[in-house]
Amino acid sequence: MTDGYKYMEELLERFFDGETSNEEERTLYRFFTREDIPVHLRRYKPVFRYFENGLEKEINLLTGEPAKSIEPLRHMTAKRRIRIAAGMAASLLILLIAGLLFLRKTSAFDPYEGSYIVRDGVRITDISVIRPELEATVRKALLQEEKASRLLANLTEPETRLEQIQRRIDRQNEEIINRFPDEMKERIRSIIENK
Amino acid sequence: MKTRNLIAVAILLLTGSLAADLSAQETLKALVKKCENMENVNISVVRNKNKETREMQRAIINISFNNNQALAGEFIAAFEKDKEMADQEIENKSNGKTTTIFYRFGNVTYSFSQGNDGSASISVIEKYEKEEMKTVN
Repeated sequence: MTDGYKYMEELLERFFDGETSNEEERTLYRFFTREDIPVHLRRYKPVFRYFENGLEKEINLLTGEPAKSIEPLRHMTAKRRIRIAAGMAASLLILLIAGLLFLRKTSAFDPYEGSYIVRDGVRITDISVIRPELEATVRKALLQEEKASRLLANLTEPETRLEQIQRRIDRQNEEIINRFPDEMKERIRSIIENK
Repeated sequence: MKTRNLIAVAILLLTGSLAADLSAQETLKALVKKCENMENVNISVVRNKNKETREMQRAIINISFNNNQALAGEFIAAFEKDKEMADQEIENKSNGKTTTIFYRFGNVTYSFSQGNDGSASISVIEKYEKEEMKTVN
């Protein structure tokens, strides 16, 4: 019998922690309808009687219909409250981080961020004011670079043409020299080169 | 021991090449910096980022001034001083007067131009790798 009471005490503890199943709760209700309840558990009797009958009556009065089943009210323990609060805090934190990331992504991006101009020693950093000037600077700089690249191309092109002509002349000279006997080749070469 | 020597040589080579890159434009860089505190000199510093990737595309410094032959001369002298370290260079003169200078140091280009009206302009363009690859392709 003591073991049975011990089991009931365990069930009671789990009931107040909100961890009991429907079957276990029914066992508790049945137990508290008995007359031979030990003294230390008697104080719970009105509570369970209320859960079983009083609550049903109250709902019947409110709805006008007999309740099919009544979910027992569970006492919220400090542990459970902490768990719920922690869950809510975690959800809020996730929402906050997601919001910040979204804001960062969608915030107005300016490709000229960090640019500035200096006029007579005065530094102006307001992009909305200096934007036309910045755009003009980019255009001007690119134009200047393009001009320089074109100049470079013009400078290198004639050189390669000249080299091509020189190579052709050298090849023709070599062909002429090869037509002569070996003992005369050196003399012909010196004549051509001195020319 | 051998590994340690190899590492030491590698570090020396690396620091040597870095030092060369840094010293390549040091006279010009110093002069550009000096201009920030000068009166009657206009400077635009543009940091141009890519709209899609939000990465730096190019940084441009443009310096312009009028009727300041001394400063124009300083720039010409600075170009002359850093000339040997430039990868590419173009200089144009008209009637003995330097009109255009263009130097390229790797991904940084310096250009100088001055007109007959006394106006002078210097541009420094630093292209960042990705953008440079795009222009090459």
